[in-house]
Amino acid sequence: MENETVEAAAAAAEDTAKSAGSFDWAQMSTPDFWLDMWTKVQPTVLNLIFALLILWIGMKVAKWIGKTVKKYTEKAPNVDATLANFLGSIAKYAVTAFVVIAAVTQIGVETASLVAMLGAATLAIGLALQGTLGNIAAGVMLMLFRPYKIGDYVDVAGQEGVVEEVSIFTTVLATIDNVKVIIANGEAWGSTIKNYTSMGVRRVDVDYGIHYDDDINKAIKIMKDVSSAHPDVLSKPDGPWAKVVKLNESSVDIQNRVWCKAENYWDVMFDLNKSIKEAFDKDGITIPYPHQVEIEG
Amino acid sequence: MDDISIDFAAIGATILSHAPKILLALLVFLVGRWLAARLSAGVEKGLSRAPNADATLSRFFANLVRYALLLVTVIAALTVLGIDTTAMSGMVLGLGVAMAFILKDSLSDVAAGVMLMIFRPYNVGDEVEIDGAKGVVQAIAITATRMKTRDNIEMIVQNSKAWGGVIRNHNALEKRRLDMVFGVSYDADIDTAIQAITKAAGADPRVYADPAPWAKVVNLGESAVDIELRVWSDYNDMRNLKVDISQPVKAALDAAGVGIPYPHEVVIKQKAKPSKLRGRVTKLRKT
Repeated sequence: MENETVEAAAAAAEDTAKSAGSFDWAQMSTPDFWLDMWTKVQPTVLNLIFALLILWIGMKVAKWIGKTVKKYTEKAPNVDATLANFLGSIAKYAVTAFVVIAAVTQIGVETASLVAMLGAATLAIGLALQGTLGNIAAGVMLMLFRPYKIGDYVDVAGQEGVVEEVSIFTTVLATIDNVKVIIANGEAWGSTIKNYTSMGVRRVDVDYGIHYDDDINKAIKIMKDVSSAHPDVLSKPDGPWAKVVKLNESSVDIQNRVWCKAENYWDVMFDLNKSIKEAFDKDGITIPYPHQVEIEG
Repeated sequence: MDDISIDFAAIGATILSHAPKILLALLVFLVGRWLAARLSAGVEKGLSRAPNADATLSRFFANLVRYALLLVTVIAALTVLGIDTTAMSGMVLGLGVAMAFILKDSLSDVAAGVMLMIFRPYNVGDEVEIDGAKGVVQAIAITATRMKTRDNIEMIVQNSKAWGGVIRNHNALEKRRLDMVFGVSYDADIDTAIQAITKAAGADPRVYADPAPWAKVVNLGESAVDIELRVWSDYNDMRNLKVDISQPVKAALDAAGVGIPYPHEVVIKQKAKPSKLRGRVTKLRKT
């Protein structure tokens, strides 16, 4: 009887101990405990195995993508091997990042911070490509609105030359002395574009200074006659025009205006320089040197 | 005494019931650390593979990746332990955004470097003008282009300056035109002068016969008729031609009797007479 009371007391003590969170080390030897334990950890272990599987397959895929990128970039013209390697490894590590995130999520780890970091990385890449993307936008604008086309003589971003190529990123000019000028489309679209070709005809304006003692009407007539005689000078939109534009320090400046096709602009200007000078010489019109009056006394 | 023994048991129980969590957290941390090391090594290797990569720079980026991943790993491990890390994630995002802004310029240099390597507006050895700096390209690195002037000054130009701006490549096009202006006397015959100049220039073997040397009156200057000479040649010859052409042209003009004039000034001497001071002078030039 007393024994029973002792046992009951012991059981009661054990109960209280259990409810108080104490641990019965003895139960570790029963299979039930381990079964219970297994059901508790089973999802974790399975997830771990899954995660490793994702990681393993993902790494293979990443490697394959890296290799493919490398192979295809190598095939492109004017791409050298080192660059292909570089782009290949970038692709590989980008895919690896996604794989790692997927694997970690599978284990049940909170990936908010990882996603946040990836977001920041994407922001960084976006910022880095900002300029390049701006150039693409400008390139699209240039292709839509066509302020210049191949073969035009233009002044873009302060650079003059003949348009050789308009690509999605850049505009390529060749200057008259054959320097290749590569202009980012952002610069081209964002600055003033002067197109010397697109209007078809241009006006050649040159000032000729004659002596104060010469006959102005005679000089004007000579200029108009010489201009009309040039085969490339047009009578439309206006025939040759000449008027006194300035009474200068040592000369009376007469401006000569003639219209010609845009492609003849420089030839007309240079030819007229020579013919007008020669005609002036012949008819006694003088192109004066600078004059200076020295006063004595 | 009794109390203490119960406490021991309680601690043991707590530890054991938390054991899977703790182990998992430890595992997350260890795996994370290993991955961080692997990835940063990968980044370093990848960057050093980039053409003309800079060792310091690739090390810097590799370390950046490594410590960022370690931070993420620690946060992940803490989450596994059941600690709320929402605030920490926010902090990581903030830090990341800050880093993105800090590194914006360097990263856009890297992006521009990749573009330069793909589109090759210039190659090593080309003489180029970028952002007003003119020199021969020595190396195109991942963030900057190194150039050398002809008189041996080294210049480092950021790639974004080149890819985002204007690049003038002086020898991308093999054939170049050299323009030089010669002033001849107003009294000389222009055709004689033009012929003398083009003939002298054409005599140089480096000057192309096609397109032939060209010379025209570009300007009627104050004291001289300005004749511009244009000749075509290879780029490499052009630089020497520029300094080799004046002498034969001068000799040819001398031989043809065409003068190269000094600045002219017609001086009119007048007695000081107030009433006459403003009068126009008579034609004196030809006398």
